[in-house]
Amino acid sequence: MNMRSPHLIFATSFSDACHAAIPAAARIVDALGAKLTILHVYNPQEKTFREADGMLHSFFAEADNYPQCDRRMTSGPVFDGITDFCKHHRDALLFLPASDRIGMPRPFHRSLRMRIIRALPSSVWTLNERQRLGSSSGSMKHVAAWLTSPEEGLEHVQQAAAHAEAMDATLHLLHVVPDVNEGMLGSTMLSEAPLGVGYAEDWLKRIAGKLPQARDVKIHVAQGNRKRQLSKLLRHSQAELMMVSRESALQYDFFRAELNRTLEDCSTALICVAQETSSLWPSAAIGSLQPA
Amino acid sequence: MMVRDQLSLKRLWPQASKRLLLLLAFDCTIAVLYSVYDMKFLALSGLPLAPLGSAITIFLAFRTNAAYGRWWEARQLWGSLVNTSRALARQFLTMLDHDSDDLEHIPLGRRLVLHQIAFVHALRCHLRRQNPFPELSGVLGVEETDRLRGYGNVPAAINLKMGRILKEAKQQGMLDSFRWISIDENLTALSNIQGACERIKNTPLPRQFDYLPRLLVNAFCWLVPFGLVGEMGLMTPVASVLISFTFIAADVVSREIEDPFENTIHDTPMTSLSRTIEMNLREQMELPHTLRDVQPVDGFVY
Repeated sequence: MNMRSPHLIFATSFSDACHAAIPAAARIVDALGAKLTILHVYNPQEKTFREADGMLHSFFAEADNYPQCDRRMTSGPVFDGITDFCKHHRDALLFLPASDRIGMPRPFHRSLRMRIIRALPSSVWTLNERQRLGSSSGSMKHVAAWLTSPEEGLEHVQQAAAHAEAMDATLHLLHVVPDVNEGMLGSTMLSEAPLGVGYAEDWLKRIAGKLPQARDVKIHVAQGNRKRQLSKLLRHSQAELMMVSRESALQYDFFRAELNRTLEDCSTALICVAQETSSLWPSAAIGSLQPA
Repeated sequence: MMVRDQLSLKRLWPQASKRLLLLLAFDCTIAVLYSVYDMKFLALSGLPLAPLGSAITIFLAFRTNAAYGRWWEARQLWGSLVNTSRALARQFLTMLDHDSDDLEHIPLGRRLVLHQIAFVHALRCHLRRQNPFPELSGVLGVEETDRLRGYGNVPAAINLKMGRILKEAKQQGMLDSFRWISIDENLTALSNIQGACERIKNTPLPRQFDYLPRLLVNAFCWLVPFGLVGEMGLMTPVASVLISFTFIAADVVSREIEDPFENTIHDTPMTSLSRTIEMNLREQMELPHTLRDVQPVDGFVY
């Protein structure tokens, strides 16, 4: 059994959103006994090393009293700095809050967060403005995994199960069956996703039966508008954290990748799990979980 | 808390943008309908904009004053927490007789000062709804911190613990009744500071103060183009948006400072103050530390 403590990398630009995310980071650090690394990538043309170092040590200052905390700083492009650092810590969980609201539409904006989620082989935990981690203290009692189709893999379900075991939490498997219409004919040729509630429940039950870690698994299936139904399922399950596969977290349009609109209104924190990611949580035993 | 001289517009814009953009579109529509499509009935020159604006200003002034009152009281409470912490640490370190010099055990006075540091951190986390335990385990140790996990109100539990340690000291003959009373007064002062902070945190500004000014500002902003369009024609949106911005900005600013413990840029700088207290108290104990002062980040100190 692997009993190392998880490693959380908090990448910060010192924005208001990063400050607002500090309580969430503190909660995870406490709940999992995680090691915390606060990472800042600065542009040497905008500020000196001394200025950046002063800011880094003033951000999340309380973490200096945490049992395992260090602060790292690199210079250069932010994307490269974060991805290079994370590639050397592949078993770590990268924490990336959303950027500050600017109050203007940004049609050509390429989200750094989404670029990093897309490029990194490790898991990324993200938090939107609406997404908060429930109460301030105590362990999480409900963890969810959102399954969209068999093609996305089951790495995120395994991670969610291992996390639920580590936290002694209930694991909720969520799936939304889309409304059946003529437009679905094309998508059914590309996906093995179940098209009926009964089939979806059987699929999730088979997956739940193969999870060695999870003690308490609950299955939630709904049919209809994906965004609306997923929000309902999340509310019903009381999940405080949801794991999704990287493939279902990202949505591509002509110019860029952005967060799947289905997840925009979710009230829980999200962890995007890449298929090639290594285990994040202690005692995460990886078994074969291919759906039947 | 903002410490730089200028308030950047980008801080204000996200809160005001939706209302202002909507008003701009509305103002443009009125100006075009009046000037291009000759809808002269849209000009309401008799509209009493000036008296209405003055009435709203009084409402906004009340609201801003009340919000600032809350913000300033919070800052004063944390100022008195700094003073009380220093005074308590001095009492802990100088008033206990026969305190242990044994290197194996932490002297009772130092144990109490560490609890005082923990109290300050716990109070900050309690007000910001943040988990205090990783931080407390760095100050008090894991065992002591685990004993606090069962409590909903951690700072109150630490205060109680300090009282119990003092009782122990009194029973061991390290403290007489006069000094006990003197220290206990300061422990009560800590409870009072915590209670006052909780009162600010848990009692919102009266809803009438919050709702009415917003409603009146909105109504006024929608009426402004009707009052101006007769004189200004197509230039109405420029003047109207400027006037609206003044009122909306006053509304937004007072709204932002009314909650000083919400982990925003307008917070009382509790992280910085608790760091100052910790550094001062560690120096009083002559304990070496590597802690640095918390500096403003991008003009804001948290």
